[in-house]
Amino acid sequence: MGDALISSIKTSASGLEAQSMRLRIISENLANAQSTGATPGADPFRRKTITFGAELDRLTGASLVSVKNVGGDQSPFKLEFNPGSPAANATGYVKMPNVNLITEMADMREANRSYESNLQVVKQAREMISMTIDLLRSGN
Amino acid sequence: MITSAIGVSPLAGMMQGTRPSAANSETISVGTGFESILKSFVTGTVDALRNGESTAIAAIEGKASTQQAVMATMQAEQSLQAALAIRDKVVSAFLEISRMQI
Amino acid sequence: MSQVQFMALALQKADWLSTRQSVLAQNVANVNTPHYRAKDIASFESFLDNSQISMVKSNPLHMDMELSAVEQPRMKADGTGDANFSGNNVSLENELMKLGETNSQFALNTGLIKSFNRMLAASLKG
Repeated sequence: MGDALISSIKTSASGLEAQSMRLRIISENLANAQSTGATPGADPFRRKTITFGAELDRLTGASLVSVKNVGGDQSPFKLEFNPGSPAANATGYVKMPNVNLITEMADMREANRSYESNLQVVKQAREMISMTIDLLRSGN
Repeated sequence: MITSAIGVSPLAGMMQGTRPSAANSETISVGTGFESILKSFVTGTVDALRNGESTAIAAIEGKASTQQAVMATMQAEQSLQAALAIRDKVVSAFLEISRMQI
Repeated sequence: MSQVQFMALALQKADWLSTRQSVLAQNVANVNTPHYRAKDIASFESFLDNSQISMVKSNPLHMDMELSAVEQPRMKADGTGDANFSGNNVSLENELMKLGETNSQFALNTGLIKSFNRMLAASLKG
């Protein structure tokens, strides 16, 4: 496997990247929680979902995680009564984005936690490498 | 010969993890008291080294605790340093004696 | 010389611990990957006995990984933990605990190597 510790850092780095991407998607969802369409009956912002997949880095043998897919959440749009809006249909209802604030906040907290955990693993691998190199310094 | 009695042999033997053999302690007439003190000291060091190593190995295999391994290793190191200090003193004393005019 | 025995063992342990670190890192990185099962490596004892074993695919859901090095500690899917609805069973607490374990074992291992190196060097000097 070559240097396991170096691989470990690559793996964790890919984890950090994946979770960052996830946080970006979540921010986008939150920012657009109220974004309706522009014309009557038009679809509003559709909540985005992100899926991860594990893969192998052929060069180094390190196992990585990557973003496999960014998709649209197919759950139905909510209807809100708002006849004054440009997106109101014939009966005065506007389709609102299928973004649930509570869900997004919980997701964001989890993404943060995953991010921090990956960071901790990176720090630990670095520490282990430096402990090993330190043997050369004052081992004798 | 002084060398074979006190100086380098038993301590060199200790470095290799073996005990000093009785054959090495002939001839010196400094006094058996000193010699036996030295022998028991060297034995103590050998034991400390053996114990340190076996505890370290046990800890790596998960059979001894961290504290035990650290304590045993520290004791081995201290024993060794004392033994080395004595060895150095003895060697320099020997050299000084050998420089003495007859 | 038994000193050599200690050093060889300590180096094996360092190897084993590094491999474990990389497997645990993989678990943490895949905490949100659907259908991912947490992995761990076989114990140090079995690593010492069977240093020639290649990685075993113990769960059909595992992705197909070929690791080219011959000395691979056998990996096993961690049977503990319930899988959530997406088929992922990584428990961050569990992984972080194992990481802490790995770290302190590594520190002890390295410290002992340092000590014994020092002793060897001191006895060779002068």
